[in-house]
Amino acid sequence: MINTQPERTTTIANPYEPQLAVIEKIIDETWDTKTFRAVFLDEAYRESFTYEPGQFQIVSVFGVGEATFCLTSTPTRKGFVEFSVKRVGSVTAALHEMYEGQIIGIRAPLGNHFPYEEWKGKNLLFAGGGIGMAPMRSLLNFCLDNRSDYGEITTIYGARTPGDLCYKYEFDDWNTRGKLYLTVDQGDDDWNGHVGHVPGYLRELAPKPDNTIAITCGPPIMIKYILPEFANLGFTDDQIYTTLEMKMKCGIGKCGRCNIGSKFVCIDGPVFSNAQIKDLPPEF
Amino acid sequence: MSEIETRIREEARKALESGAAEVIVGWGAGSVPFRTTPVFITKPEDVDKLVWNPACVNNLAVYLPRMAKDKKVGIVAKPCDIRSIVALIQENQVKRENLFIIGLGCGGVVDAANLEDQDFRLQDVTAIEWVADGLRVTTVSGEHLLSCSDCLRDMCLLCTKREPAIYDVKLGEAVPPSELRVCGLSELPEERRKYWSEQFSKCIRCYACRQVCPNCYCEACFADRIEPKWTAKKATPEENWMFHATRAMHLAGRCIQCGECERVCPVGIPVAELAREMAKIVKEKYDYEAGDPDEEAPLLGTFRESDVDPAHRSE
Amino acid sequence: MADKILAKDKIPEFLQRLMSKFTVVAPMERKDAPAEFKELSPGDKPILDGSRMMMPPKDYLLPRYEVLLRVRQTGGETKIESMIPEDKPRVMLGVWLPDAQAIQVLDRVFLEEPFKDPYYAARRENTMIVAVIPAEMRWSWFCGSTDDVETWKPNVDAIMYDLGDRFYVEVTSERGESIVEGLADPTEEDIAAKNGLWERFKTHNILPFADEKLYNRLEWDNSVWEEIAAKCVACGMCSYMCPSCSCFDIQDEVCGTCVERYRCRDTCQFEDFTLMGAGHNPRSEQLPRSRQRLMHKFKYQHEQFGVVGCTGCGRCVELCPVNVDIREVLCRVCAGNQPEPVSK
Repeated sequence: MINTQPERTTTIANPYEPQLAVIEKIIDETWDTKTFRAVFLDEAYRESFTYEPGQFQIVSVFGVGEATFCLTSTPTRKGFVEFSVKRVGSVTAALHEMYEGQIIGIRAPLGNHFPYEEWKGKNLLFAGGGIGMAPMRSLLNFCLDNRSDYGEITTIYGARTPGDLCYKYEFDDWNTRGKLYLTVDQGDDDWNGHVGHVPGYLRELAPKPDNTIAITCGPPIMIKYILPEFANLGFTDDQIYTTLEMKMKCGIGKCGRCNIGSKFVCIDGPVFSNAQIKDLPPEF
Repeated sequence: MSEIETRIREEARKALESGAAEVIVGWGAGSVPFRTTPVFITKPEDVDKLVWNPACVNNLAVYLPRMAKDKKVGIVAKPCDIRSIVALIQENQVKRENLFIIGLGCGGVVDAANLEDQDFRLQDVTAIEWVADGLRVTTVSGEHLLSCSDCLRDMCLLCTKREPAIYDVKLGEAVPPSELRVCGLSELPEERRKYWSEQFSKCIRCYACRQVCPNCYCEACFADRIEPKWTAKKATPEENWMFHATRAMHLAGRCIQCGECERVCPVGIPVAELAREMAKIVKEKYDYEAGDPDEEAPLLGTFRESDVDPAHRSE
Repeated sequence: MADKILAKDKIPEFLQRLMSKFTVVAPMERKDAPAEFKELSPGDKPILDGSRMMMPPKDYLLPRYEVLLRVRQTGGETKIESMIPEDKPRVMLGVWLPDAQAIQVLDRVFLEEPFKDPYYAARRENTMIVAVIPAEMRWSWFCGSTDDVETWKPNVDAIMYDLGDRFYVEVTSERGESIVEGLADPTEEDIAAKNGLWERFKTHNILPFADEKLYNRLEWDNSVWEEIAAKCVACGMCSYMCPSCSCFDIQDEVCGTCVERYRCRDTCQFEDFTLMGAGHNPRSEQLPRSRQRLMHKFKYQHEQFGVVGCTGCGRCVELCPVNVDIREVLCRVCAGNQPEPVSK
């Protein structure tokens, strides 16, 4: 079962008080998405800081507010945290206006994580759409960095157009140490790859469910169509994992926004197996 | 008054049966005898759920913009509620042809808060009805006669428009006001500021005043906007001032003074007093009264050469 | 623990003595409005008998507006200051007993590990709660229908029973002893009067759902949600006036040279509560929002903490603009959707 209370390796006296961090690098992923690499200013904090794949952080742009992002970097690569930001609201817009060297605040790590310990020796199948690749990238890179612990590591990643694919600079690695299948809803002149939605591509590729864990993240509509495909391939509900997205403010189970049934996505999630999701009211 | 109640039910039944309305919005018995609750009647056999008594306070026009977009809605309405409907029609929020209005003459409705300070216990009340020049409250221990000024809402005591302005069916006679209570704000700006500062400091920003207001139908209220942020969500005196003042300006020439905002305020802010003041200014400067069916268009949607330019108000 | 008698004409001395040791917080009269919990100054005359409508005590423990952090950015340096309030010994007087129990719900949300809320903790942990049972129960109370009220007693430090010209002060915790120092002992007659008042409180408005385990009866699919949603005008009054509703929003504001990060009330009844940046809203209609509030109080919080999130204080019953009477709703739920009027 998932450990819903992540071990806190760092103590934060005031859980509302962020740690200061400097933006070290900004990567333009697509026309509306950027990835930020941030480094904590406090050296001792930076040294002791650690997290697990699947956990999230709340980023402050002082004067604008806070917003929630998954930690998209892997804890196997130390010294910084990364998060990908799609421009949708006021905080994300403010982040997009920022430049390297500016100061932000970070509250992390928050939430539970992928139970990767239990998955040792298994094959992993990632199926992601659009910005949904962000939370899976942390786990994918983590597993690739611990390559010998896992069997086949297969990734199916789709986006609307080739220009909407993020993390292109890591595709070679994902396809070398694992296997990567890309697809787009609509190709362009330079696109030679697969065209179609992720659920359909999954059906075509028809991976076997034996000794395999499927991890899927993406827009609600993709999740809706991909779950039946997994079921058709023979995946059971406890073989499928996802991360839920709900509006959050506090990230520590107080403000009430991300409440679904008796669970809070911020402390009981964001990682849930499909079996656990089926126990929740259908409200996300 | 039970005769009027019977006739409301008859008219509602006829309207549903004839197809004049697909649903009737009216008042139903409340969870306690001194309250009523909105009911939505779609079957002729359910019309007996409709009631008419001094606890029929809600202005049901608040439901019309979302209900009467694409269907015929019947509504049981007091004269003030009807003025709201007129304003909604003038502002193109509902179409007159989609409405079936059962208009009622009115003698004023009760302010439940005023029943608290009487010599009976609220939980003992079994019925409230109009009698000549007042209200009769029946309790488990006997009957109590209350004068209008003791128990009606302030708005009702001030109301002079007790006949329905528009209707498909008109029931009941208006009871002329027995006494007109004159309210007024201080003439001195600094006293007014002090008074309102004190009142607004109580506001908890539950937005009940806005939500019950039939004319607050904006899909995105300025108070909820993040970009641009006109007022912060926090309930501080300054932000509360911003909210109430902006809302009052927004309702200038539109508020028909049903007083719902004031009735529902859980912390007793006299919101309707602001509205009255705005209406007074609008009447003086533009000779316009919101909710008057003789007006063709909303005040701020029209221009007349005689209009005062508010930017050049000389005083 | 010895119970005592506080004669009402001795209240000024009683307050003076308490104020020499504690910050005393009690409901103070406000013009045209419910009384409000305030820190008392010498000479203040608080409403201790619970006879008046009052703002919920959360307004003091979890203020409707509170600055969490102050951030200063000067000369390339950023400094964050946590605005945690002073932790000082306090006594809250005149708290309706159902409101005192509602503080238990707040405690579960804000004090439970791993994330203790330092702001709430600073105001709450060193605060004694003295509950009051007024001489007349409000018509809207239905406390005994939501829970076994006997179990509430140990959750407060003392209970004051209004016996007309005097209060019977029942001490229910060890630290509560310090409140009654120097007060007279009760007579047999006092004890009998107190027991009578407790019995009236216990049996006041016992409704048809009282024996039901509501957390088992509240169903996701129930026609009652649709009915509430149809008439609900989506204001936040029921939550904002509720003594146990505690959802909040966090916002930033630029104030001159610094940034204030504050929290303020918010409610699941507002459409934008769950609206995400990208436009998706899992509770975009009123029906799921109406369902959420009641399911959360009567089912989810019970599952999560083992306490019921509603203590029957009746504020929403009295104040709902459209008379959505929570008692009636619960009766309906338990009667299998058959309309059933609230019994008196």
